[in-house]
Amino acid sequence: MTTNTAPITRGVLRRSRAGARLRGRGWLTAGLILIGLLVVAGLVVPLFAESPTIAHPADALLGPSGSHLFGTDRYGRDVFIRSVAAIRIDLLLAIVAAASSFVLGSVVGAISGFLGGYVDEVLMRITDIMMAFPSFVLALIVTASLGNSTTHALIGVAVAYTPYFVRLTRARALSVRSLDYVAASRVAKTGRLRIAFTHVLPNSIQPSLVQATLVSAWAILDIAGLSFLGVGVQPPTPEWGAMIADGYGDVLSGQWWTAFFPGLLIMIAATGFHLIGDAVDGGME
Amino acid sequence: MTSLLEVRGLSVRTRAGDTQLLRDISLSVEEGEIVGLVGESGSGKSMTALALMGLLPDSMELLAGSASVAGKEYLAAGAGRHPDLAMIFQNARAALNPTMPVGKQIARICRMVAGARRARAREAAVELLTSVGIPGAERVARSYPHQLSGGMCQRVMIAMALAARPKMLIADEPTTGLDVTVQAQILALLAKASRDSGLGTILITHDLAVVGQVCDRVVVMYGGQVMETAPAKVLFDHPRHPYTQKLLASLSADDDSGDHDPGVDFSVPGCRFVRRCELATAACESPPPLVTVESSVASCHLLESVA
Amino acid sequence: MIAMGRYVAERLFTALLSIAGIAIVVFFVSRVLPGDAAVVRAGQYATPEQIAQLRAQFGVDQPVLVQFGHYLNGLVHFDLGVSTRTGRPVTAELSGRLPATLELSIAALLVALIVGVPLGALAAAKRGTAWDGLVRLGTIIASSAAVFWVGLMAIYFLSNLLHWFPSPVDRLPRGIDPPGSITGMFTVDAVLEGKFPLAVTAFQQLMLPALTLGLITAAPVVKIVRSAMSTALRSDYVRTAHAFGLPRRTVLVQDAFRNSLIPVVTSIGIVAGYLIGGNIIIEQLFSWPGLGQYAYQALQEHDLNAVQGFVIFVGVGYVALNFVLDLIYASIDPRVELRTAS
Repeated sequence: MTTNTAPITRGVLRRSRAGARLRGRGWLTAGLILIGLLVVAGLVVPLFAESPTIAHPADALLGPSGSHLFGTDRYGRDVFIRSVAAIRIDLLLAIVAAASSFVLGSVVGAISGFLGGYVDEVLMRITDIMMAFPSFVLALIVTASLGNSTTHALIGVAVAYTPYFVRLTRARALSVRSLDYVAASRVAKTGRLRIAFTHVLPNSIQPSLVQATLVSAWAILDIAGLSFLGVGVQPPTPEWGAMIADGYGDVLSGQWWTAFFPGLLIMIAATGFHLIGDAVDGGME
Repeated sequence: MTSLLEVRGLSVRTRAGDTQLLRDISLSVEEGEIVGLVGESGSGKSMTALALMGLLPDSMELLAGSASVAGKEYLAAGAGRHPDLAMIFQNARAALNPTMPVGKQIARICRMVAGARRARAREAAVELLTSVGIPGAERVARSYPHQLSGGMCQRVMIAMALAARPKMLIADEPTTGLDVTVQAQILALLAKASRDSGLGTILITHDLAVVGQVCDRVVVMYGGQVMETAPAKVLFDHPRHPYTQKLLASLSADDDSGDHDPGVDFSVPGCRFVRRCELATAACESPPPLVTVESSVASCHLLESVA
Repeated sequence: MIAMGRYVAERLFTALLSIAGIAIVVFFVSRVLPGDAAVVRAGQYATPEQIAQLRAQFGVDQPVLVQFGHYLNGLVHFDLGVSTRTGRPVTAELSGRLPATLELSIAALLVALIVGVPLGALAAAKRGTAWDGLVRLGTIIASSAAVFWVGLMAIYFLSNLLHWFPSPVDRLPRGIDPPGSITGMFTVDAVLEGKFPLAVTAFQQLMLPALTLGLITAAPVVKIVRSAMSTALRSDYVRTAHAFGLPRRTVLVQDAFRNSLIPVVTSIGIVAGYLIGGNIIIEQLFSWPGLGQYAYQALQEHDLNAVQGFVIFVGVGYVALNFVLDLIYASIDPRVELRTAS
């Protein structure tokens, strides 16, 4: 009998759900606006600005002003134009990385959960071992081992976050597998795999999407981090982490704007994804 | 002369405002009296208790009503808790702090609620454990809840309640989940407490056998409304309200499967039992009157002609 | 006590199993990944003969299973091979750098706990209010800031401009000798030797990187504490405590907070992940000669043994940390004994 605790639990749940929904809506809107603004700026501004890689040695290291909103870097390139141009690269890389780990992790998780046995055992051990390493360390090791490049950074980040999706989807797969109609049908392995893809994957998409939003936020930070360390996107391509690495020496000698603004945009982008992920997550609690 | 506990017109609704979970609950408890509060799950028994304790979940609010203990009005003043009220819960093990020895849990109530000094509080805790029939109280005082049986934990909780020196105790399904012998012991303990110290007790239960064992009077609830109030013996012999009759019949028929509760319709303006009542008439759609039949008070249109 | 001994043995066995798994996976994955240390080492203009000679020297010309045998044999003797970059044993190099990383991580963890625990508890106690919203928003923003950006800005604004902190040159300014090596952590060693001015200097040097890493790491701490405390606040025992009229503050501290520390302790592993990830960047930024800096340099030069050694160090460290946390958990939660016995 849980008659007596039930009203309380129910009440609290209802309250936090209502609260989360309320807050969730505000946060969701804020997150969508932040990302929306970035996307629009990233798509539109470069159309009207000069190429972000052209140097103007005469204008090197000018402070923020009316003509150079974010100032210029040591090659005289406009930091505003470069920061905004970097939106395309950073957002694209982060989203593609998150989507890749989402797809890869979901497929592996569905297979693992549905086949069970040795396949599941081996896949889960590998997942556990991967999760013993911080994602950034994993991404760095993979990227640096493959060789410094944009594509490899993308692969590194995607691999690092795959275990999250494997676990999520596997848990779903196990619960679907225990459902009567699947258990009763006693289908062959090929049939089970088909069920895995027609029932499990669609079922686990919602929680995985929430996870993917959060992974996008982390991926922004990781891509920029890898590029800052020089193993990701290479200069002169405008990318936030690489720009900060580029401005490192100038910041120390007083030209703080060369790194400040790219970092600010990183924070805005990651905050946007975090707000969306948190809002959707809270709403489903 | 007012009763020890007087509750008048207590109403609770969800904060969203759409559902009135308790409607116009009135009841009273005298000194040394044990009043059973019975009803099925969802009847609002526990909600009534939580409202009286000022422990309503945040999703619910007090709409109207007043309550007083020993003549002191407290509820309307801001839903605060009355210092002379204490409450014990079912599933006592989960209701005790898992990481604090039980003796310490009792002692801190002696100290912070009843105002005892630190050293005295520790002695008092052991004394209280002994008084609720725990052998080897010294040792038990050093134990954690998970090391004790469910019945033992319930005794500990009663000791905690007594440590607060309340005038009124609300016991919410205190014997649910305990085996029959332990159940009887716990009930005897509650009866002893009210007899010895004049403690007024509300005993919430869905088990009519429990009511028969210790209660002086019974309040029957359904759907957040009081259906009938009567002395325990009278209620069993002459149930007046159709719901009470049905409740008792289902007990003797020993058949739970036949009558499936379709769930309470909180939107009906009249008697909330109307959907399940076989005797319902058109009049039942309007709020029922309080009808006194000898020593019973029932809230039912059908009894108007009898009275 | 017998139950406790069994509990420890069980955990130890699981931990050793995980370490073995990590060792095996690390070896085979590192053979699969491209990037040839000999080619990198020999340089752009090396002849095939020179490269072959280097390959023989590094032992990478042998069959994979033979290499694996050598590798396993080495591991058992705590031998992680020789760094192709410096020619020194990897185990010695990593062990030499471990104290620097530990000192920074422990300091950062303290900062994260001191900032994060009260904020998380506050958010939970005031759940749903503006305070809660403010803390959660702050958490989101903090976890959205790039650690290298925060560090760089801190160096410029707080150290260069305001001179609140010394320049981030190393663990000690140039020309100052480190204390003797007792723990390898300069602040601790200096205090142990009674060299208090040296301890202060080392502490000043430690402060800014620790604050940067700690403040960023406070974000997950807030999240964990808030969720654990919210659960505790909803529990039956908190309701009971209120029902007996205990003061709200007492219930918050003795019932809700104390019980919420148990899940918090077990989640420290997650926080450690943030610390290790952040360490690589922070050490690079503040010229802190720890494991992260070493790993980064090793990665840049395809120093296979060094990278492998670092990965095993991190993996083993993680497993060991979780083992220790399990023991702490068992000692603060009186219920653990029962759980293993049943």
